[in-house]
Amino acid sequence: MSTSSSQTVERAAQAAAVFLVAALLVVMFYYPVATVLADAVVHPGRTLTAMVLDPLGSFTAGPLLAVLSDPFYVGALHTVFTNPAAVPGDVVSWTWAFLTSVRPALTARLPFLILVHDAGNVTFGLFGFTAYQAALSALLSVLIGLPGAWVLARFEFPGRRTIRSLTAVPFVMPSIMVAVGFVAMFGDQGTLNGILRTLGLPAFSGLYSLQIIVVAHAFYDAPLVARITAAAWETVDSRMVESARSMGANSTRAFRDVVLPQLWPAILTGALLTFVFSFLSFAIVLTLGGLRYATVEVWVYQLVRNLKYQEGASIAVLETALSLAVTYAYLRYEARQTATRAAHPPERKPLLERFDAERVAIFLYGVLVLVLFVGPVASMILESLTGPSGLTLRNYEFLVTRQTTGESFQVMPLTAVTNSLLFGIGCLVLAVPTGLLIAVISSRDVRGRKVVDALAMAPFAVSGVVVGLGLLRGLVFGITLFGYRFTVSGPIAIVAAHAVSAYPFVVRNVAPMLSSLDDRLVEAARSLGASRTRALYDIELPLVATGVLAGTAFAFAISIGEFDSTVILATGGDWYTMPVAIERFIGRRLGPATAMGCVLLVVTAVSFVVIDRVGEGFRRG
Amino acid sequence: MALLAGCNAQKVDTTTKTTESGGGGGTTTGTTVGTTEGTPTLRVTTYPSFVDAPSTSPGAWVKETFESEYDAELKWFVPNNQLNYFIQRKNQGVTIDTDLYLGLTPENLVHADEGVSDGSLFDSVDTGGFENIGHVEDTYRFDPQDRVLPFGASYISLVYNQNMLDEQGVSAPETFEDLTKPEYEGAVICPNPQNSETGLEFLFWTIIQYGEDGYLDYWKRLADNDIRILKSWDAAYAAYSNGDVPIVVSYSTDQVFADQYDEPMAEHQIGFLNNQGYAYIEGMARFAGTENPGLAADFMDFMLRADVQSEIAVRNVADPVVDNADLPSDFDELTKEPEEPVGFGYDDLSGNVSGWLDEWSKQIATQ
Repeated sequence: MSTSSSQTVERAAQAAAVFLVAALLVVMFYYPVATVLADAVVHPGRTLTAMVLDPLGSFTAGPLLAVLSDPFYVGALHTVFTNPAAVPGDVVSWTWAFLTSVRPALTARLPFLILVHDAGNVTFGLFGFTAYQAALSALLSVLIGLPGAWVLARFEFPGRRTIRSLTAVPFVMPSIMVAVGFVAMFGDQGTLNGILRTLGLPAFSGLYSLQIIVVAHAFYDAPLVARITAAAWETVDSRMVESARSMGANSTRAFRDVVLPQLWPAILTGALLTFVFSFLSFAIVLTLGGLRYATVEVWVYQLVRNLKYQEGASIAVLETALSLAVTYAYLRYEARQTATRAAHPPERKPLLERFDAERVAIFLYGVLVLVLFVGPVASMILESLTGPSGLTLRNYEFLVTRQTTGESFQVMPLTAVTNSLLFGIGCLVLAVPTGLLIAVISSRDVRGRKVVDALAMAPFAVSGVVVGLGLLRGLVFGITLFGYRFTVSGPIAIVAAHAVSAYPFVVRNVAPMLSSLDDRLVEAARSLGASRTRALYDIELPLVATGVLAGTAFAFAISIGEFDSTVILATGGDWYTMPVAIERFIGRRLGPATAMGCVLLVVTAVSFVVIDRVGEGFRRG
Repeated sequence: MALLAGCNAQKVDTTTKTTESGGGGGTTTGTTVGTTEGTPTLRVTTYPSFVDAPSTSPGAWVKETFESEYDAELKWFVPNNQLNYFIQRKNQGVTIDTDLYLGLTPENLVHADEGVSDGSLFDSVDTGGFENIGHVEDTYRFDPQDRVLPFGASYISLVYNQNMLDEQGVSAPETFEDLTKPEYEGAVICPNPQNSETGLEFLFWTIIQYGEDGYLDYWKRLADNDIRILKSWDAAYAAYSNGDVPIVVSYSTDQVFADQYDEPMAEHQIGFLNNQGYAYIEGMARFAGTENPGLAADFMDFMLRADVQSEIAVRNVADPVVDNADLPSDFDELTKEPEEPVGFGYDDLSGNVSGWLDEWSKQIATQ
């Protein structure tokens, strides 16, 4: 009796939680986005009623086909839609052209640059180029992130936990600040060239190129790959490694056969997130590369800005479909993984104990980290402290003056800091349970769950421009129902919007771990009378705690760094955040904005350390 | 529950206008434009740097002075999407709730007129009683229907670093053709016309030079010479001030800021190509259907007064549009003027802007 009633309560609570999450997603994401994307498939001016009553007359494939037949957007692929008969012959000639043009490139260039060489005479169009640079970015992020994961997961050294906490810092940096840092670090007059010249080495000239865009994407995303992979690495079952070794496998073999299979889902999660982020990249591409390297998102922005909603929505629909297709393919792969994990991590090796080949490699990696990550950030800090005649505090004086004597309608630095922190905390309160709930649902064996899973990832696969416009149209302007106009804006809407874009990180950090848990553990607990919720809290969550923590850190980072939705939902109110303040402080000189950028850097760095410490305490406690 | 707190529902009344949540975010209820309240509120929308620039901005002074002379409260409103915010409100049938728009360029007005599906976003004002209207210089008026009145102007120009050019043994470029020569390869940064008004007006300037049939060819040569087209004015200026390139497309008022920041003038030289400068004109207009038409007109009258024009010019770092405003001599010295101001008028731009931009950006992106 008591068991069954408590089960009923539990089921009701679960159902209520699912309902609340679904309601949140519909109000803050699906409805607003639909108001924009509908333009791609619905004739202008059709109402919802008309769509239901006359579906054939309301929907159209015209705008989508127009994009797919335009070589500017899809390159050589347009023939498939304009002249299918020509496709086989074209493929042969393109393949030939590709092979003959790539071979000389292979012999003439360093391995990485081969990839950057444009692939022969085939034109890939805007979509092809966008996918191409995103794939390169994902590859480089994994290459740079993996050694970092290894060092973080397998070695012990002073400051390890702090460095792990700081991996989320690049994520919150506004593109203009990254640009300031990159130009100061990698520009012609930058620090790197200064050092190279002093050493008598040839100068490096890489700004305004595809290379620098890919490197900047890696600056944002390689730490993400490192953090996600390190979290998985920390839960590798060491007993399996030991038994493999005891059966005669050498360490390379044990790594390949035992450790690597348990890391693949995490590595690919990192690659996937990087691919989608870089695929939707906009500001950093235009800021460091220039319009020559325009991505699809640049065009979404231009079309929306010029009020060409139909064409803009059409390419945004295709952009989203592509991102979701990649996500879905990955989820199918993830579902097939059968690795099991348990909390028996191997002992960490002390890093500074001796000096061998392994440590030399780590030292060289440290130099790379110094140049690629510390360099731009340090350059940005230096920029904020530099004036025409050397070191100065005047940029920071501006922040203080603004805070103390600014007008009520002006943006105050301190308000921006507190708003950012409040929204960040609110976002976690909402996003972490939401993410966990979806992760739990997606780790169950339910038919079609991968489709649901892919849809749950939609908030990070949809163009930021589209989400912003949707929030403006659907929520800020509001909808009229029963003679009342309902509007949603202000702080709670901002928190909800942040939570919607942040929870996928929790899901993607936790779900792979959760599905690879040894089911027998949960079954054993339940057979001993533990409720499903109880088993989740007592057995499963502690085992995936590193994943929850990594997801939490990045969810917070998403909230702090979010700009597009924040600025729209804050319209007319005093709910600006740090990135909004930075944007406002860009005057005819960048100094004040850079100083605010450093405030953002310090506030978030401290927050990340606190989140990790609190999280770890919670995990032990 | 939590979500509900951010919601706001208001009765939609078809006979009298109601307003939605004004300031303060979602938890506050709507502010109604009151007729019973003692002091009427004038809501003026503008661009961020007019009220919030770190260096200097006229917002606070304008508000304080206007409020002291008129029985009104002035509220600044700075939506992120600026003009598009209002075009979308209008097209969605949502009330505008703002009285006046400050900071319209000719292309903005063309964009608004083409973007609004029904009627006009702005109406014209009877300027008969304006104190200083006779002194507004005709060259700055750009609206054939006289809805928009100008209030400030400056010029798009090159800003170059003389020291860097000297180091490279190159003289400053003087013509558009110069920019395509080998000595300026990779030397110029231009803000992206898709995102930046500065870049867009520079693009117009090249169309004035080379014509509709020739500008794409000119830009092909510019692109072959490695002109960089970066996201925004600030990204472009950041690269320029870091010494990455010697030349940037910016404003002829640059030296005023260099002076404020004690930067060496040699690094902030102004270059007028072909002795021209593209006139960057800012105007103001009253929203059609405002509940405070009289007060909005009073504000426009106020903005054009000689004393207010001089004050705004200095604080906004732009030239006045009236011929009787006094300017401090050092300000006059630091704001350079071209021999021949050029610029497109409303009729030149009407029906053309988005086509030009479209052709141009596709060419650059596929180059």
